[in-house]
Amino acid sequence: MRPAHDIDVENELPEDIAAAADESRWISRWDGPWHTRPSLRILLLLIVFCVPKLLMETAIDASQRAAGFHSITHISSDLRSRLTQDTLISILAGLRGVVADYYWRDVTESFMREDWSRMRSSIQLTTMLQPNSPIFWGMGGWHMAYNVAIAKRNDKREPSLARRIAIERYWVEEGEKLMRNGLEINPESVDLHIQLAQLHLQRLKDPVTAAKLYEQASLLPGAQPFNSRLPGFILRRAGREQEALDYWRRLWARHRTHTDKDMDWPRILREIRALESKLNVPIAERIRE
Amino acid sequence: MMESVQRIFALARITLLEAMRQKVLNILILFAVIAVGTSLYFSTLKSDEQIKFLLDFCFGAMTVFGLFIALISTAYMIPNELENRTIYTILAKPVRRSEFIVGKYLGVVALLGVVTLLMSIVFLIVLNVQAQINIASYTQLVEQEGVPELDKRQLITTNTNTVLAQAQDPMILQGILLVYARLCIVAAMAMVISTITTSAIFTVCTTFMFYVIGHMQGYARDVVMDPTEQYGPIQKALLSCIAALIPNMRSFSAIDEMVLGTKVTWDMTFGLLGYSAFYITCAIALASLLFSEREL
Repeated sequence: MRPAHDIDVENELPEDIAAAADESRWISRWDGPWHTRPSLRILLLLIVFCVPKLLMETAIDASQRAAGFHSITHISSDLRSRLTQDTLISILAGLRGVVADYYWRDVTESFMREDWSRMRSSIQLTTMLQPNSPIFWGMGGWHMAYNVAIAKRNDKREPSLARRIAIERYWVEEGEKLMRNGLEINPESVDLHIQLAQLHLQRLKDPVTAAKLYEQASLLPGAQPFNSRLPGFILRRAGREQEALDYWRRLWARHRTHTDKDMDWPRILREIRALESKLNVPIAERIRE
Repeated sequence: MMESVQRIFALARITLLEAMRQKVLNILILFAVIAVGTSLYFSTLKSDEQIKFLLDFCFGAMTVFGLFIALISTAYMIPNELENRTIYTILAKPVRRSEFIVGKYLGVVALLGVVTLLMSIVFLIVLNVQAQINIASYTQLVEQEGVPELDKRQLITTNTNTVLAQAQDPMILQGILLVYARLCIVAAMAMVISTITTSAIFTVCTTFMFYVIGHMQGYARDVVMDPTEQYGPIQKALLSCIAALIPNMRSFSAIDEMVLGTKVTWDMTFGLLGYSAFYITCAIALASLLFSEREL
């Protein structure tokens, strides 16, 4: 048998095998110079790869930070102790939203068990994990200012009524504080403004602040038309008729036309007329239709 | 050139078919059941919470199942080829090693595409069913409350618009694309590691570790790029390696922001997709180089 190097590939091998051999030679030629310094090639690729990679990442991070992503609130040592290893791995595996939802379920379960300290710590964890979610701030504040506060007020284990009222007030203020913190991070949230306004109106008995918050909410995109009417009604019912009239005038001036059915302008006009009469506003200073 | 492309696509097609014959579909059915069950699990929550939780859970499940499929299918590919000795048959033909790597990777990408598409279909169906349930229950509640007619109409319309805006938000499509891009990056990382190791388990564990580190890569990059940071030379070298080699997975947290209703522009999404394409291209080029040096 002849040695392999003696075979004349072009003339003696079948056509398809010769073509395949030809192609292999072409592949070898193509790969040839690259085989000389493999480690150098890899190093070169890494250098060429790293610089644009880092620049792209910096640009993406900057644009995301500008859009308010990656925000995280302060984490205290007692909260850190509640973040288990599994939780941390889940957060690092890109499941932050799911972990936050898990702790939110814990809020609901703690509420059912009336375990208020655990509930508060779970609320803090969820708001820490997803500070851009107005739901957590709003509902968390509502739990504290309403559910916990009322439960504490009715807690007969504390014999002193004065002390119970003080504890109730403490929880209402804690709820208010939580919602305020949420508003600092989510200033565009209509729902959070409304929830805080309700808290001021119903729990802190502060209609002026409530009206201000309702007004702020009504100016935000996505607000319902009836939110615009609430400050006027709240101020009038609180006996602050001049302030109510000032509000209605502002609202009237803010709109060019007064035909939008959703706004219920006839009702607003009736309110204005009633207040103008009651406050003896001169005819010349009254709103013209 | 065309022949090379044909060889790559032939390899990709075979890889996809082989993968589809495995138990991937069973996992998909499991996912579908879990996703459908989610709406019942969160039924005690408020309407807007339900949609948020459903979005979180579905994107989370897509990530977890996708991650699992990406890791397993990529990590076991080369070891299986070696064990079955099919790799020798393939490489004995006029197929370059780089073509083998690219073809195999494209097969995994196609598999992830099929998996993501199926999961997305189930996800969107569940989401819209939940949205309709929420709208119906809210309407019923408002009807029972005796609210004035005008306010009632406004409340129902606003709620319907809000729920539908959440459930049919075009940003969900952006989220799905980003989940897919994230999975393709993981597969590319696994491909690089599997070209230099012989153990599939090692590849799975190492890739997952790199994936987790990827969520903190930004801190390493800050240290490397900020000359004022006071770190020792060894720490800086280690952090430089992390910053240089590992992708920034944290930037994909844009998905979480979408769920919270934060506006994520298409520019941002395309930026992330472009970054993913760049990283994948470089990773596959590196995998090809490493594989071409490997003794089989």
